[in-house]
Amino acid sequence: MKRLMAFVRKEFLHIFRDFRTLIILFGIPAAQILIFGYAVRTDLKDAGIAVLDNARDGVSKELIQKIEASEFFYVKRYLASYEEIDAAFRQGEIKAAIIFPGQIAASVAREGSATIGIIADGSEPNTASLVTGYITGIVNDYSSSLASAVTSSLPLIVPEVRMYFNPGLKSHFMFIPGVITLILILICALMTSVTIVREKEYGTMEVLLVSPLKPWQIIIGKVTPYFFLSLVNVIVILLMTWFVFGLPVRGSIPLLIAGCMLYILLGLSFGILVSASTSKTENAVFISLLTLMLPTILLSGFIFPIENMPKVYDYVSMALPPRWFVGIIRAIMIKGAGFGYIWKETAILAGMTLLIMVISARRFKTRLGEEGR
Amino acid sequence: MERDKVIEVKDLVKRFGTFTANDHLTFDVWRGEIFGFLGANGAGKTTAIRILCGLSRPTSGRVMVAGIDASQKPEEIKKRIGYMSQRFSLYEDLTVSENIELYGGIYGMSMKEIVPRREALLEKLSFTSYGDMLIRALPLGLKQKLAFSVAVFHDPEIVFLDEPTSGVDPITRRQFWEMIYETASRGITVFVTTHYMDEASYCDRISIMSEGRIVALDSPSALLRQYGTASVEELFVKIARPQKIRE
Amino acid sequence: MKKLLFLLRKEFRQIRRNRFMIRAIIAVPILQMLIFVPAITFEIKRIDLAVIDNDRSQASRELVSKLTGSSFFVVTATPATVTEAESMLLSGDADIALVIPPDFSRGLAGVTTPRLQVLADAVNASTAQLSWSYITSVIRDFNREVIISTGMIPANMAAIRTGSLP
Repeated sequence: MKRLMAFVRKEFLHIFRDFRTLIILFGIPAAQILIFGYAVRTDLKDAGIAVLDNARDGVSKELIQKIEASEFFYVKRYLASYEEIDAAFRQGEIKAAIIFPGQIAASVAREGSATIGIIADGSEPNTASLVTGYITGIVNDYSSSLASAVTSSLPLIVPEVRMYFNPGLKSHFMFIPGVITLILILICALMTSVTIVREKEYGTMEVLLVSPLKPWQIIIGKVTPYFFLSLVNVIVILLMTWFVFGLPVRGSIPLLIAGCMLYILLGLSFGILVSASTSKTENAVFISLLTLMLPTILLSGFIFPIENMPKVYDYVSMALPPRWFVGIIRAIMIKGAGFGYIWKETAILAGMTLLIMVISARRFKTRLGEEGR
Repeated sequence: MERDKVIEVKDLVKRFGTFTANDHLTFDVWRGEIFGFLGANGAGKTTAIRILCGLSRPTSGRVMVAGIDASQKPEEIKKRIGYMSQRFSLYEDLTVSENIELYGGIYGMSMKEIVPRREALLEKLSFTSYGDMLIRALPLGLKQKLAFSVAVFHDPEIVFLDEPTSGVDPITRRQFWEMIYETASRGITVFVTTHYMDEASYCDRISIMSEGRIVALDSPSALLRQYGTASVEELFVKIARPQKIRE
Repeated sequence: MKKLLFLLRKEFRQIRRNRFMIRAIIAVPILQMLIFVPAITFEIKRIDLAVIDNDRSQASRELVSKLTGSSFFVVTATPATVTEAESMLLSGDADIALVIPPDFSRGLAGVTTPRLQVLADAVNASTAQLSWSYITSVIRDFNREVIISTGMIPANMAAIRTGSLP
């Protein structure tokens, strides 16, 4: 035990002496949170649209007013003719164009209906669907108000919505848990794999192996400082999201920290596994990054909802720990859910952690046992 | 008076698949002697040393190091030996004192035991005021001498030195060997491999390995007489085979 | 200039022989792109609906089947209370909970104005808003059909529809 303490002390010294590593360890998470909180937005705000108003009567004017009144849109251009639409899109000024046919008010009065055209910029499918959806909503509202003006005594179902967990409808509620998931696993895996492989590269690993330290002690010694540092990181990130974005942790903080500890353990074990597969530091970095970054970003439900993916990807993502952790962290942070709601994800994550720990321990032993490389 | 044997090796065989790296090695090392373990590259020296250090197990044969059976309890061996690697043993971004404390702690010494001994060591090396210097800042010769001191800091029974003086200037080499003599006279057995043939003649006894076998084992002077060569270098060239290209 | 060429040749040879680099820098990213790109979409494919039907009339059933008639909505549960429904939102078993009031069918007869409650899991704000907008469209259509079928007003009820041009 004393031997282990001496070793752990050395690891801490290494970390704090290496300024660049510290920057990576603490700076990058902070930067990521800021980027994803502020810069990346998938909600619609102040989208510019163009209007081709061939009617120019009461109905069209009222509709246009309603559209402008919403926080989602503003009318950037009034077009004079159909031909101008193409150019307006190409210049990238507008996200959508609304076309009012001539004499709309008259058709409504006479025939009881009219058709309005919406053209959306499909090069950003997400924005396009949001735009179309919202405009349709506004038009529908107006349409009902027209209808109820006529048929005020007729029954109307009034739907009301209550947006749970995110009444302000902020997009970073979805992202920030995801960013935490990505950062934690990347940093843990990277740092651990690099520190172990570096010892191998320097030749000091050989010396450690000849010493009375057992292999498991070497691993624990290497990994312990990063465990604590990652926890510190988590706390810093949580504080940042609270103070900078006003996103508090709605659920139980101890539960959140416990979940993070489990996930950190998983990341660290994965780093050990990576370190057992290579003897060059640069390779360790590559392997860690390549196996973790894209899959986590794309398939964990971080940005792109898993329910929208083809079923195949749903199954694939089940094998990825980040998918389960995103669920846990969202549930605790944003929904305020208790353990009862996340026990399934937690159990799965715990199982995965155990599995990776066992595999990496075995691999570490075999690789170093007979060859010492 | 029967000196006791600190290493006993009888018919040591180590095979990797079909390749035999150590082919029935038999030799003993006495306590307190300076034993030179020579051989061409690829002759099987490193493999044998790893077995002696408890890093790998013999395929067959009897290997006793510091009274421990290497095929049964290699971990016990590690507690009683010291090791200086050919590359670097000391951490560049730690100070002299920190390295000493680290290895002292790893080898089971308490701070109470470490501190006075560290001070004594620094004084002996005329290094007292440099205890807080980073290893990175030291010249190579000094690093090697320090690495050796750290390797014997915990008073092991045997210390294994893997080409300790590679790349070091002749003056520092001389000083290094003085340290080795002094260590041996304290009763610590020194097991050293080297390619410097003049260093071979500083040893009490040497063995020469070639192609997995020991082809010579005796004191340097006895071997010179036996083979009629004027220097250990000549002897080496005569009996050791160069490294073959392995398919 | 020629010296540069020799240097370049060496670099390319080294990369070619470095199997790890080849895999890491070229193969893996390409593979990942090919595999993952089809997964990336914001298009809503499915919304899990929990329906609390406090009316249990033919009208309410019709409304629900109209919702599930579109390919998006799937009824995954029919909880009895709002608390149960909220619990489903918490656990992620439902994306949206629909609470049909007990006076639904009476309201359609013109007696009261039934208030349909939609509880949406808004962690993903855009999905929630889009879902809400889909639901309101469906409800509006349903409303018109009811009105038309009860013959209170001719088929051409004053309405403005939206669509996309060819």
